[in-house]
Amino acid sequence: MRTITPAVILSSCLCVCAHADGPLVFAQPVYDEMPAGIGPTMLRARDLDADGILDLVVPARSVDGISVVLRGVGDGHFLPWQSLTVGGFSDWAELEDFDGDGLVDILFGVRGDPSQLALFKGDKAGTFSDTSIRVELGRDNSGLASGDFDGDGDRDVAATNYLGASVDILLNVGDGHFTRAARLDVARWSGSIAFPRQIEPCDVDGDGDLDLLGVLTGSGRLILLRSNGDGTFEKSREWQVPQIGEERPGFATIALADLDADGDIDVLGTALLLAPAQKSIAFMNDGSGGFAQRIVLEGTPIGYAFSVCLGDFDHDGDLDAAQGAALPGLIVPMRNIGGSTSPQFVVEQFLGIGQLPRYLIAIDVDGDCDLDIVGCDSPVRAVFTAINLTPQMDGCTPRLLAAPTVALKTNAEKLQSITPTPTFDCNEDGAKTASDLVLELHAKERR
Amino acid sequence: MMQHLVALAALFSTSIAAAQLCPGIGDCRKPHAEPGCVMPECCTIVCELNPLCCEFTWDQGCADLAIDMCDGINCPAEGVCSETHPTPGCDQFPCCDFVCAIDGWCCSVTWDEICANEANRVCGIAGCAIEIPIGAIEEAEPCYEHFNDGCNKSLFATRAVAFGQVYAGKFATDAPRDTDWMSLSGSQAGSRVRVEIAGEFPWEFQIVTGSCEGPLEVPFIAHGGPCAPSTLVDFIVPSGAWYAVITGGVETRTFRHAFTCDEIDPIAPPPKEPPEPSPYGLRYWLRMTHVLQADLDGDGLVDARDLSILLNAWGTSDSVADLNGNGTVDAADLSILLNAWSQ
Repeated sequence: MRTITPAVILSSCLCVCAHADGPLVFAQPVYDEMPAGIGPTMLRARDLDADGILDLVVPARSVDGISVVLRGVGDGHFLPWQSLTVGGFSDWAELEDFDGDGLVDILFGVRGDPSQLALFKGDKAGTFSDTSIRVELGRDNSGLASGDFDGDGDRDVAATNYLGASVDILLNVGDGHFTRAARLDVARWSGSIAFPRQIEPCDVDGDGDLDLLGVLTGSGRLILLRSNGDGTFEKSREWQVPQIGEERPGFATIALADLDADGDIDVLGTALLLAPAQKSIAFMNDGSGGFAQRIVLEGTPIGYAFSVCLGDFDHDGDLDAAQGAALPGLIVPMRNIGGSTSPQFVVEQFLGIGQLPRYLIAIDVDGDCDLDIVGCDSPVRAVFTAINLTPQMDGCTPRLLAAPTVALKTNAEKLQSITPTPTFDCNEDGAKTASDLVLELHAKERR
Repeated sequence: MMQHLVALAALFSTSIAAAQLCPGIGDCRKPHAEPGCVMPECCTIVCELNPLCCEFTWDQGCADLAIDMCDGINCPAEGVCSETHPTPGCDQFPCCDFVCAIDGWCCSVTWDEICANEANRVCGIAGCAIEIPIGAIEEAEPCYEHFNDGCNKSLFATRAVAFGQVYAGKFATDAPRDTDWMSLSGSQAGSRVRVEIAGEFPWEFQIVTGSCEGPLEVPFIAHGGPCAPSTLVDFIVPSGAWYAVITGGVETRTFRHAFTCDEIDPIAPPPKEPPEPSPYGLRYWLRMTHVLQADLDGDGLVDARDLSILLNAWGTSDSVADLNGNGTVDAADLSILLNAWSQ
């Protein structure tokens, strides 16, 4: 039986002396509540209005089918700016110039029946209007990845079909209209349901074209779809998350970066365990897109690991990480003490943020040149920012905010329907495991 | 106390009797004058709760009960089974019921293209049986057990098979979906293997390479069935570890849930009440043989008959004529055949 005492943990936060090459130190998160009924699912950051401050595009789950754009204030807060009617629940958005006019557009993945892409055209003021361009996807889109997959100079899209166990490849005609070039099966061999959730573009083998790396939440596997450079992809190649103790972890989210400074892109993933201590999994690229080497790293000691981001939070030249855990909702900055070639994380602080930190990014929201942690908590219906107070190794000066506020919601929806023991065999593999808990968390607030 | 029991028993028997009147006519989710409603499963559920719904009239209370209790039950429903429509379910009960057992999406979200294609494929067909060749080695895997499901088991297990021998087995679903993994001894990487397969269901033959930990790949998939005649599938033996896998599926999807077991294994009874009998049987057999690289008809010679087969398959993905396994029968395959021409 797990015993969770967040109050004790929270009271211990920041009880460390910050010094160069010392612990990572973040202020307790500040919250910005979303408009009523809107549960944020992920974030994209960009300075949309050219005021020098990063703004956020926030796809969301709302019964009215609304996602939002938030304007950055510069102190870690974000204010409501635009509401966009995308037509359904959205779990993902991409910010790129999709129509070739030189301005950033938003492409939402919209879940539903059927799921679809919805393109919103950007203008010079940083506002967006509906183009009415809708592109049909497979069953229940969950993740998107954009990049020039066919080498024709425009931004194409890959989309995961969460209930369809496939990835759609959609090629841009050049003006923001897309044609489906392929539907690629994943885990076809599997007797269970794969549930592809997240997908990310990157050149894993250094051949100059964009491959795709993704997460099979139901199968607990990392997938690679290697590009042929012409908009076609090889068949899925899949690596399982390694067994940790008696358990095969659940697998929700990945972040990509060169973790060992060998010049290729590696993968850091969350490892959700039913056992108390959570872990991270590093899938180390052998340079040719092989990820056989998998390293188990630290994660949050409590909760259930669900989200992750990477960033050099202390400017010491190696990549640190932050992991988000559900039940209770916590963020743990993880300092890399292994150096730039051999990551090894240590957890020194807990940030209490709510219930289910669904997505995290590392960006500089306050212009002080260090990376802060921004995330969203869907059940709490808020985005949050944890300002980085860590002394920076290269002299970058943290901006100390006056009395950072801790604003845990009291009226937030509870994750009452989710218990630490999986209720259902969601992936139909014949057992109730950590993968099922990931699926239950992911499905929270899904219709 | 006894009176209570008698009353309960009477109510129970009344409920059962009322439910036996299902299905009736009329939309379950709307009140109508006649007793019962058109969805058998929903009608039964509601009438077991309120026998009056099946004895007198399907009033607003019955409709409300149906709305509460029949979530995901949408057979039959509006919409032609063979055509896509935005609402779940379709108008022919047996077809709707079977497709939804394979694919719950069709009855819970929308009757999309996959559902309509499935209906066109499976509805109205008669069940069929294959003849298992004499001497076939049986898998002897009871339904709902998983003896040889490869990487789908925590303890990896496959069925060892050899060239020339016929192997028979069964495909039964529920969760997890049955996948029969086979390891073939005596094959060399790059050599060509021909598989003759027959099945009473739409079968999917996969070549899976790698290890369970990864990388795991499915470089080759072929489909066939149901029933007559047997199908020939050729594949080139991959390097490294590989497995042949038989399961149920068509190009657009794999099957799950719908294939009712035809036996009850006391050790592994059905995990839940199985669905109605499917139009498909469960049995399959296969045999793997070595073939010369370009001997398409398997007569031991590479000659004009093989050339004819290849030219007939030109531009297709016919695995028998796709000699280099690139997915298309083209000039590269012709070149391989001509190089292997028997003099």
